[in-house]
Amino acid sequence: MKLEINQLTKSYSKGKKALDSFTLTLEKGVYGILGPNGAGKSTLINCVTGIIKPDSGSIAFTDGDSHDYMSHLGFLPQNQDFYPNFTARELILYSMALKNVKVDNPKAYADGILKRVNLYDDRNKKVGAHSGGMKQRLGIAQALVGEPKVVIFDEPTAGLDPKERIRFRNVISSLANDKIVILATHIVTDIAFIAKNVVLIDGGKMISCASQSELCNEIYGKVWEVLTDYETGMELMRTKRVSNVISKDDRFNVRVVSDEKPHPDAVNVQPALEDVCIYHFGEIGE
Amino acid sequence: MLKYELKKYILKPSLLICIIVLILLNFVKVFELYYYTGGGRAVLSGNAVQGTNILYDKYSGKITDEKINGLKTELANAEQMLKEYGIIEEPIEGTYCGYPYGDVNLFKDLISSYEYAILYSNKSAEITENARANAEFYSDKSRYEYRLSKLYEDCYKGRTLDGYYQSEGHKAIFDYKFSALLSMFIIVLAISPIVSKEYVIGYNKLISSSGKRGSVMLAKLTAAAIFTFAVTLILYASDMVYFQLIYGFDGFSAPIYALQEFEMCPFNITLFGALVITFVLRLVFLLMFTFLVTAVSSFCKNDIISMVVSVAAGFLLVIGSELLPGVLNPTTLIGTTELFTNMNVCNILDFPVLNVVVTLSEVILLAVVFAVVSVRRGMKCC
Repeated sequence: MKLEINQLTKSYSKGKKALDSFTLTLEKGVYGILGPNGAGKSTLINCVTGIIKPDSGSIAFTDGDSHDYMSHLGFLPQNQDFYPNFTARELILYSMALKNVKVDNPKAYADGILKRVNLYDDRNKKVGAHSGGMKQRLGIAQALVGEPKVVIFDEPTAGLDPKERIRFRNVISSLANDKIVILATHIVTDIAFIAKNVVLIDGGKMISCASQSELCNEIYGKVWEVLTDYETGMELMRTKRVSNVISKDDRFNVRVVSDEKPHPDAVNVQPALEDVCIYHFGEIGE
Repeated sequence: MLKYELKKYILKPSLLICIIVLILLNFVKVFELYYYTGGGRAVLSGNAVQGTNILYDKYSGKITDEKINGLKTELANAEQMLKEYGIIEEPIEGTYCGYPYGDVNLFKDLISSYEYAILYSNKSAEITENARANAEFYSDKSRYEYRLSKLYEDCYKGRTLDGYYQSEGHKAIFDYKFSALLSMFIIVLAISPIVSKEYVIGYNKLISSSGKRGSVMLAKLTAAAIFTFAVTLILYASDMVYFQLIYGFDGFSAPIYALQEFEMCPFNITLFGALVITFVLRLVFLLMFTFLVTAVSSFCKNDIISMVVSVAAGFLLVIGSELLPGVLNPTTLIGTTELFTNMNVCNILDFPVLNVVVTLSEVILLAVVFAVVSVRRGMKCC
């Protein structure tokens, strides 16, 4: 199974290129897409999901003899809400109608999907009475209708409490075996936990696509920590790319991403995905 | 797909409650109309109305010699009582409406209506003869006038009447527009979020990515049309019930020209047929308005804005239409008294075409345009 995004370009009315010859090949597994605001993540997702048409380039899907990925696509948009007067089951049935999923017993199929996201007991509850976490799980459920080969989640954990976020990660991980899962988010920790590969995107171009360990290795020796006083800490935050600051008694442990040693007392530490983001984008998500 | 589109925004308890309240409001309006314009009976006491209704029941329907003689006798008796009692203030026994003077007037009205019915065939023959003469005169002078004369001849030829029917309710219901206004209000409430709300809850992206934009938009339009049909039917049926209760009307199978107000009606239809035409024309107008609202909704990304713009569009449609020539005024479809009163035609390529046909064509064309705009715009957004 392979999803090939080839030379995708999309410009908006002011001439700014949201995607600039973006090329990427995805295989089974979870891919986290990371990039700063305006990097082109949403445009990329909108193109892949068919919401907007790219100016040029192509998207090709191969799975045996199948080449039509749109009929195998599951999608959870950002800030997705639902029709409040639908029950969870009705919403899944509606998604089945939208995706043209025809089965002998639609209600049983819908219930099966709801079981996968732990919403079976609430299947007859109106969506308007669902909590934020339940709605997000319902969003995942509708994305799974039709057993899609490609599943795309756009900012899926925004607004979720820690418990729901962990539950969400577990559901995503369980999908990864036989699907291409694309996860676009600002929340680096979500990607750090569940994404096999990370795609870095900025200025509409792909900067890198590699495993987390490979990306971390790329900046090995460029991540430092220094225990310092307040003034020096402030100075480092003004002049260097700082990925973390922890207060320790009257002193500060400052984590700096830099090609050169930022302070005489600085020591090299193991890079993390957040450091990779700071290194490439100069900013960090949540 | 259709049932989900109906469920999304239309089949909501709040909307149902709103419809019930407006149906009750409609009753108040019909009663008010009757009270202020319902003629003599509206100011009579309950017993007097009952007595008057007995009189109408007695003499309505097929006209027979027995009824004519009975009417003559009763008129003579009432005139005799009037001589005896004069103009009195307190009602007395032995009269229909309580007063000899009132009874005399009622009998005279009935006799006038009987005369109209009996003499109508003569009038019809006279119109037909005049039309035939005009057709001969214009046969080599004006193709349009010739065709118009032939139309008159064909339309009024052979018309006869053999009965008398109570007409107040029919005339009032043909001209009653308030329930159409209520229907427009309900349509705005239900239909204005039909596309715009998809943006608000973010489902437009899921619909887009499903590749079923076209099916969804068609389902939306179909759902909107079904809802409009249901609302129009419910409110029109409530009109019928209220007018029947308050005014009372009969003779559904009688020709429409059995009512003196419609002696020149250009259609050879029954009163029931006229009620059906009134409903159909109203439905077409409201469907056009519904598709206007769906078009507005497809341009708005906020359901509140969509509702406000739809209300404004409704006002513009109703008020702005008054500035148009009658034949192009879409709102003429929601009050049919004029339609059934006279033969109003316009000259199109030397053919006399009924004004209602032109207006109907215009409204259907507008409905199609609004539907196409809704689908095309909705396809871009959803």
